[in-house]
Formats: sequence, structure tokens, C-alpha cells
Amino acid sequence: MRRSAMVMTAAFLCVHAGCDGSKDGSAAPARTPVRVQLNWVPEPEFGGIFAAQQDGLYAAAGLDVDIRKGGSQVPVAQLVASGQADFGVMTAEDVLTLRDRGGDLVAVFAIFQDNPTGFLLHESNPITTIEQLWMSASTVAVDASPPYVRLLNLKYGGKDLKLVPYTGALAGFLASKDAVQQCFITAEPVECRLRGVPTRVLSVATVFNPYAAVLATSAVSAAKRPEIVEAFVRATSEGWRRYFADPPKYNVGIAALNPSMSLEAMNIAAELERPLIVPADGAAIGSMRIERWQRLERELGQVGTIESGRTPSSGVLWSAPTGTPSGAAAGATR
Amino acid sequence: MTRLPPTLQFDRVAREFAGGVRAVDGVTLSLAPGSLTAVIGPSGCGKTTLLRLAAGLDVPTAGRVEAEGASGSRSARSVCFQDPRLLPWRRVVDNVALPLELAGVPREQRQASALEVLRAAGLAHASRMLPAQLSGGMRMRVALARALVTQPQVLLLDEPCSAVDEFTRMQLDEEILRTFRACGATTMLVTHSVSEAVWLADRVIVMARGRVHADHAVRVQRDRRDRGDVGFLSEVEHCMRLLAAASGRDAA
Amino acid sequence: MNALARQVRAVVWPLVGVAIVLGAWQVGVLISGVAPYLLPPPTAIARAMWESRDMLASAMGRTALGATIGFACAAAGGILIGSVIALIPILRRSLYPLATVLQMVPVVAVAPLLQLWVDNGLPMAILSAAIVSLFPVLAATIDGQASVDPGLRELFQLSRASLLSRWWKLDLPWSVPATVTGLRIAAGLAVIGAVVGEFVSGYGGVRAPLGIVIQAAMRDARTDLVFAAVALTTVVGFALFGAVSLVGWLLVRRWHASAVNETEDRR
Repeated sequence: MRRSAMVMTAAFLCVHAGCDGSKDGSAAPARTPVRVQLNWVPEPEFGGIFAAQQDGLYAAAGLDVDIRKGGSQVPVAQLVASGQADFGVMTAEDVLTLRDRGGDLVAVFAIFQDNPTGFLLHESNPITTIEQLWMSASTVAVDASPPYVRLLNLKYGGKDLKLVPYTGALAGFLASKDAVQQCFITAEPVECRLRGVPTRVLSVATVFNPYAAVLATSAVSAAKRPEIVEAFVRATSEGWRRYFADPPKYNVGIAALNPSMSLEAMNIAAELERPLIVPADGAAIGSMRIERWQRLERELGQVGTIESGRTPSSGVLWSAPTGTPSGAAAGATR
Repeated sequence: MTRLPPTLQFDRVAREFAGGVRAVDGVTLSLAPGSLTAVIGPSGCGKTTLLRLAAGLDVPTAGRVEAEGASGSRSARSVCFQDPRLLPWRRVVDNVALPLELAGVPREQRQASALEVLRAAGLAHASRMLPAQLSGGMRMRVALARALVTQPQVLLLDEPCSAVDEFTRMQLDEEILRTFRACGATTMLVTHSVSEAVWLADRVIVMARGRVHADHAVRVQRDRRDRGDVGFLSEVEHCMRLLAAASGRDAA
Repeated sequence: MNALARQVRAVVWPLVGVAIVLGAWQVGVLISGVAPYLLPPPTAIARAMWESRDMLASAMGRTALGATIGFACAAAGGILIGSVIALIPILRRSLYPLATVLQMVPVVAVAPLLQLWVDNGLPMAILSAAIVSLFPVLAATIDGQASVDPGLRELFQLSRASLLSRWWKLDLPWSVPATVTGLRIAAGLAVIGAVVGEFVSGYGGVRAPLGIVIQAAMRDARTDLVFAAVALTTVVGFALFGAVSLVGWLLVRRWHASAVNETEDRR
């Protein structure tokens, strides 16, 4: 059902794009250029996007997608809000924070249903819970002051804890038995496992569980070109379906773009992320519930990240203005 | 001076530079104790190289340079160069005291010696100044005072007046004469001014192409020298002719 | 010429320039309607600076501490190592080109590596600041001491001064103007080095230095606070640069051509 709707939309867009092409007097159908900004290097956490690209789903939907890799210092939310990227992968906190500052972002697709963020420790480390970690005098490498750290500070104090920047490099962690760093459950622990380094992961989802990676776009351009958003969301959704049907097939292409992560690690990561991405209740991949955004808004208010007195969660979810709700779009309005 | 200064002896001295250029080519000379000898000659004749060999700043490729009859200590030789070579961050008195300081003389003693030579040179008022605050002629006089502070037995002057105007030059010449008389050292003066050479020296050596071209003893007594006097002028004229001949030979 | 009036003018004109730029910025932002999270107007930056003054002052102090200690280590090390290299001809010929080339190594690229060698926090900022500021001092010191007037060298040779005595009394004072130039470059770089060090391993929380404040503010889309912290980084750099320039000027003002214009009046 979902699939046939998908194919129909794609066919419609093709025809539509073809009309545009003939208007321009050009023989080839003109595709709309779409820039997608990732917040990290190509990894299985973007598997569906790469699968859609590799299988030509975006092209079939009339989109000429340019996937741009990111890093810990790339301000994805600002890039998308200012129109320098059409879609961006960012955390739900990023979306609400920028909306609070007056940035006009809307979330269109949730990659992670559950937060894959965790703390990575050596197995020999006696600490086994986040609470213990926060009461200890450990040195922890984390992104600069993310909301979950502030939430943990509120909860547990953490006055002896030493927080240092997370650079994405594993070398520092491997060098010291006492080292603790933030991680994506699907990335660093796998890398350690393959190197024969036994580790323990403390999941942050137990204390803080917003949508950890969402695709967002500018509200203005989404209102102007809803068909582009819809086409992109559908193709991405289908990309994820195909990716999980056969991750190794698509990981070859992703690994070619990222020399720092092995194909083997990517294949393991794909299996680890599957339960975090595919909704447990049978809902469509990518769907979101407003209650979780509202809860996040309360949490961000507690730690002082949201301060304007606005309610940035209202209107954060994009919904297709017309047409039959289906797939991710249907989930978004659920 | 209680002891007689040494004879400065050049014995078949030669200095050949890389590329086969012979700046000094077999010079044998004997500078009498306590005499003032001027060395003149066209540019590139080897006069400055000869002085540097005498100072020990250069080593001859053949022959020997010796100060016979001296205690043998090379620090008894003082050199005053074309440029004053003062340390710009030191006050005049500390510049003058430098040779004593490097020889390990205690501070009080060397300051006293430096002030003494400065006073004798009429520079006592400038002792606390920095070189940048002095005129070119003053700086040269400080350099002369510095050459004198070690009470040298051999004094080597390398065109000390080449960088100053005519009036300052005459003043400096007086100063050189006073210095020479004060220390009584065996003195060698390299200059390109014939009248200066005649006015100051007992003996004028004319060099050309690294060799001694002429050797002339000045016939007017030093005390009677007067720049306007006929006898003096004829001596100058004579040396001019010797120099012209040397230049001709040089050009040949 | 009234020296005071000249100095006042030397200060006034740059201030006018700053005022023009800030004014144009403010007006430009207001007219273009650009979102404040992309480019805040100067007034918003000033407000952020005032509202967060305690936090920023503490962060600035930490960054200044790291940069200053790192700079001091680099200055002492650079002058010492540079002197040894300049004194020994074989070392000078072999190591001077290396010192020049190593100036080009971007500390940003090296910083993650440094993390493996020293503790997080202040030690890392110090090391990073020291590494970037070492090479300009080293190169300038070698340069300055290798270019001593050969005539003055001869003067020391005549007195048969020892190598150490010549270095202390001639080479070192002679190289002061060149070394000061190197130190001034190093002062600016030290702050950059410290902030880069903080980026990779500065402490968060109440002990956060400016580098971490910038990152955290960036994450929170507090662009006004980012600009405020960046401005304070510049202040730290300028203060260090100014202090070094002042000390350098005091050292050479009496005798060196670079400072002689000031003494001309008194002569």
C-alpha cells in the first residue's frame, strides 16, 4: 500500500519534472537540486539516505540530491535555517533551540526513534550506571555542553566530573583505561569491539530520549515547495526500508566515502541501529509524535537552553498541506 | 712608558685569498719602536689586509708578523677601525671599558681607567651618553679612547678618518696625535689621505698590488708641521707623486 | 610637534575606524533583517557580554592564563634553543630551515595528537599555545643572532673573548629587536594556540575557558555569545601583544632605530 503510493508519487513527479523540462526547451527532464547536510561523516546512521541515493530513488522523484558530510563543528541547524542547505540531519534539541532563537525550522523525518547516545567506558572501569559516572571524578569527553549533560548536572550535580570536548577521535579513549567519552551505540563501541578492546556502554536514552537525529528543513521553503519535501521524505523513507533489507549491499558505497570506518564495522552498526530506527509499535520509519517534542521542550526549559518564553514545539512538525497522508507524513500527523 | 715598545716586524708576509687573489704579496717591513708609520696606496693595494694581519684578525698564507721585544701578549695591540664599532646599547664609558671588561678587569678599576682616557680626550661630559646621541666625529673619538684604554704597545689605525668631513678630520688628526703621544705605542696608520699621512707619520709607506712600492721618511720634524708651510706642502707633493706612480703601476 | 597630541591622534583615528565599522554593522543588520542567530548586531553582542559578564570574565582569565604561560615557556625556550643553534654553525645550517618550516605546521591539525601526551584542560592549552608560539621566537632569535655586525664580532675576537661572554655581551643584546619582533608575532599566536587547545580538551562547566564557551554557545545557537567570547579572545591577544611590545620598546628605545623616532625630540 505504502509502496504503491510511493511509486505513484514518483511517477507523478517524473511527469511533472518532464513538463518543466519541456517548458525550458531542454530534452532531459530537469531535476530540482537538493542539498542535504549531514552532521557527521558517512556512516550507517545515514544508511537510508545513501540507499535512496544509490538506488536512484531521489532521481526518480525528480530530485538531484547532493549529500554533504559534516563534523562536530558544522552548525547544521544554522546552515539549514539560513538556506545554505535544504535538509539537514540534526538533533531534536538543535531544532527546538534554533526555533527558540527565532530560526524557522520544521522537522520532517526522524531517523532515530530512540536515543543512540551513550557513554563509552572500558570494561575494567568499575562504573556501571550514569548516576555513578556523574558522581565520580572521571574525565568525560562530550560535545560542548549538550542539554543532556546539563540535565544530568541538574540531577546528579557532577561537581567532580571533568568535561572535555569530544573530537570524534578514538585515540584518546584507547590510550587511557580511565577514559570515558560520549558515543553513538552504533559507532565507537563497534570500532572498539573490532579492535579487541572490551567496553561497556551506558545508554543516555534512560534519562534523556528525544529524537536524536531528525531531518529538518526551513519552514518557509517547505511551505513554498511542499512537493519537494514530500518527494524527499518518501524517497528517504523507502531508502531506509531498502537499507534494512540488505545493509551490506549499501554499506559498500558508504564505506567508500568514509575511510575511517571499516565495512565490517558498518555491517555490525546497521544491525545495532535497526531497533533504534524502526518503530517498535509498527509505525512507519521516520514518524514522530508531538508529545515527545513537548517533553523535550520541558526538559530544555529546565536546563535553560530554551529561554525566550515561546513554545518552539508547536508547529515543529511538518505536515503535507494536501494529498493523501501516507508513510512518514502520515506518522507525523498521528 | 717605562718599557720600550716593540718593533713591528713583517717578514715576507703574503696573504692569498680564495681564487688566487694576492692581497699582500711578500711584504718585508720593520716599524721602529714608538714610531708612527703611515701606509697609503690606491684602493685594493693591500694596505688594510696588511693591518688586519698585524692585528691578528687574519693569518698570513706565507711569512710572519711579529712584535719583537714585546711581552708577547697580543692584547697589547689595539685596533681602531674605519667605523667606530660601538655597542649601541652601552653608554660611552661602558663602551670604552669593554676591552678591559673582556680581559677580566674588575668593574671599579675598568670604569676608572675608562673615565681617565675619556677625560684626557675631553669626552668626560659624554661618558653617560649612548652612541646614538653622539655625532660621527665624537663616536670616532670614543673609539680612539677605547683603543687607548688597554695601554697598548702596538696601535693599529685603519683609516679612522675616512667617514668624517674635512674639519672633523683635522680635529681627529689632533686626537690621533695626542693618543699616539700619550701611549707611545708603535703605531701603524692606514689612510687614503696623503696630507694626513704626512702630517701624522714619521714614515710613509706607499703600497701597490700587495707590495711596498715606496718607503719615504718624512723630512719635516713633527713639532714643526704646519699644513700651510712650504716645507710641509713639498713633502705632501712628493708623496703624491709616489702615489701617482704607484697608481700607474697598479693600472699597468 | 607636540608628542602628546600626536599620541592622542594615534589612538583617536583607529577608534573612529572601529566606530564606523560597528555602526555600519548595526545599521546593516537592522536594514537587511538578517536573523540574529546568523549575525547579531553589535548591541546584542554587547548585551550578551554584559549579561554573562561573570562567566565570560572567568573564561577569559583561564584562556589568558593558558596563553600567557604557554607564551612564556615558548619565549624562554625559543631564546635559549635559538641561541644555542645560532652559536653552533653546524646546528644553524641544519636546524634553521627546519625551524622556519615548522612554523607552518597548523596547530589545529596537531592538537588532537597533543591530547595523548598531556592532561586535559590547562596543560593542554599551555602546550598548544607554547607550540605555536615557539617557532617564531626561535626563528627570529636565530636570525637576529646570526646577523650580528661582523665588525663587532672582530672587536670581541681582538680581545679574545670567550664564546659565552661574546653571546652574553654582544649576540644576545644585538638580537633583542629581532627577537622582540618574533615575540610579538608569538604573542598573537599564543592565544590562537590556547583556544585551539581548549577546543579539543578544555574543561566544561564552571571551569570553561573561552574556547569551550564558544563551542557551547555555538551549540546553543547563541551567536551573540559566540561573538562576545570571540571579541574577548581578541582582547586577550591584544593585551599580550601590547605587553610584549611595551617591554620590547622599553628594552630598545634608547638605542635601536625602530624606537629612535621617540628619542629624536629629546635630543
